[in-house]
This record gives sequence, C-alpha cells and structure tokens, in this order.
Amino acid sequence: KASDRNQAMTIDSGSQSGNMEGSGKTVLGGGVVVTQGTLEIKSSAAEIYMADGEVSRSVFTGKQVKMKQQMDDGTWMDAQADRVEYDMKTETITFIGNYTVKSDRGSNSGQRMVYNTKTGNMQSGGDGTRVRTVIQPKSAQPAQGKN
Amino acid sequence: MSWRATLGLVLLLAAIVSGWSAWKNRDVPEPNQVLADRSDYVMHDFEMIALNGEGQEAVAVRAPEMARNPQDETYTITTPLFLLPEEEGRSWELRAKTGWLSAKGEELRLKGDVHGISPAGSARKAEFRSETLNVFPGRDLAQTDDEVTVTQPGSRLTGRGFETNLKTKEYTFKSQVRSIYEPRSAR
Repeated sequence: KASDRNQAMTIDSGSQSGNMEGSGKTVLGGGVVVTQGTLEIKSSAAEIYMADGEVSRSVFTGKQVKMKQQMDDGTWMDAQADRVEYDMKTETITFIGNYTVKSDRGSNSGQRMVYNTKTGNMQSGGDGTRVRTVIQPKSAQPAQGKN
Repeated sequence: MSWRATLGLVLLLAAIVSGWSAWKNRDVPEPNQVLADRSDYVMHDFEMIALNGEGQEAVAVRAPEMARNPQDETYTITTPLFLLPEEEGRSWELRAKTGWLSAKGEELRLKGDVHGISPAGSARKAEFRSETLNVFPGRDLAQTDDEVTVTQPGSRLTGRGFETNLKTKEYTFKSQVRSIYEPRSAR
C-alpha cells in the first residue's frame, strides 16, 4: 500500500554487523525478515545503507528472496527473485535475476523488473533479456491472492 | 564385670571417639581467608584518570567508593561513571551499579543497569543499555552475552552476543537481532 512507506520498518535477523555511528553499510545474515505495513520481504542476507540517520537503501539476496505487499485496491502482489533492491529515496523495488511477480491481474517473469511502490507501476526488461507476461482475462477466476 | 557395665564402657568409648572426631574436623577458616574480606585501602568520592602510552587520557572513572582486594589486587567500584574520551575532549559516558577492575587494568566488568550515552553534540546521539558489559581497554573491545539495546534517533536495535570496537565503533550482534527504523514521516 502507498501508506506502507510511512510505517516503521522492522528487520529481524540472525546476526548483524555495522557501525554505531550509523555510517556505511550494515550487514545482516542468518535469515532476514523485513516488515513495513503490508510489505514483507524474506531473504537469507541483507545489506542496509543509512543516510542522515534514515534507511536509504536495502539489498536482499537469497535462493530466492520472497516479497509480498497488498495493493491499494486490496489485492496482493507476490514476487521472488535472486536479488531485491529497495530504494527508499525513489520508493522503487528492483527485482534482479529469475524474478516472478504474481497478482490478480496476471504474472510477469524475466531477469529484471522495477516496481514503483508509490504508483504500483511495473517496468520490466530493457536490458536485452526476455520478459514473459500472462494477463488474466476478465472472465477467468482471478488467481487466489493471499489475504 | 556384668554385661551392663561392659555395654556402658563401650558406649562411653564411642561417645569419646565421636566427640574427638567432631572437634578434629570442625570448620576452621583459612588464616588468609579472614583477610580477604577486608580491603587494604578504600577510596571515597574520587576521580581517577588513566593515561595511555602517549600520556593522553585513556579513560576516567568517578565513583563514590572503590575498594582494593589485597589478595588478587583487583578493585571493586560502586556505581562507577566511566568517561571514554573521543575527539575534541568529548566523552562517552558509561554507568553501572558495580564495576570490577583487574589488577593491571586489562579487564573491566560492569554489572547492573549498564547504561552508555554518546558524547553530547555528537553527529548521531546513541544510547546503550544492557545488564553486563566486559571492557578490554588494551584491545579497544567491549562485549556482552546479555541482551543489548541501542537506541538512536529513528532507530532501535536489540540483540544478543554483542561486541564493539571502542575505537572504530564497528559492532556485531551474533543472534536474535531486531532493528526498528522509523521513517522521518512517521516520527
């Protein structure tokens, strides 16, 4: 949801290393779970970058990283990829490496996709790799989103 | 001699032997154990500044009382306040209910409501809380296995298996880590 980005972000992990002065990169391992409103990301490891005391960017890696978020219309979007980059400044999430995104409107898979959490727009491909999109016909039973 | 008299004699002997054995094994405190409970000197309401190899202030401690144990030459400090200097004369403040300092000052153990505050005016205020903290000044190392909470404006971090380098401020939590970040818009 658009309101997710104004919520507190909670990150649980098995281990964490960083700098007390909040500069540089914080490295998390041992299984990472991020929740922020309806947004949830699960990965093996993560890197968190801070700027003026705020999280500015996070990079998640895993076999695979899993993410889900509720849209403003109440439906759910599920995604997974080898690598997920969440840029809090531009409020975009980039899926890199064997991504698949599923929502009630259909599914989309490929090697690279940029998802705008503000507008819900998804822009895929553009790097020479192939993209596969499946759009659900109106009459078909919508795919079971997780509520 | 009748069997009654014999029995009486035997019982008397038994009583004497058991009494003697009880006296022999009575709890006699070791001579030097008596001394251990009494420190050889006590300081009241003091400030002590330890200098490093270059003669600069390494750490300062203020406390209402510090007692020295003559046996192992260690120190016990009541409600210590440690000042760990940073640049421009500003210091981290570290408080606890009790402090224990090894004879040569290689190890400091803080116990009970350990509470650290970053220097006033530092770029990012930070507060540190735990039940214990072991500090090894010579190795610039502080660590504890107890749960630690570090709060900074907009974030709160808790975890176990904490270690930090006092000089570089790098830290590690080895398990059960939870970070909560509040975006500025939510503060």
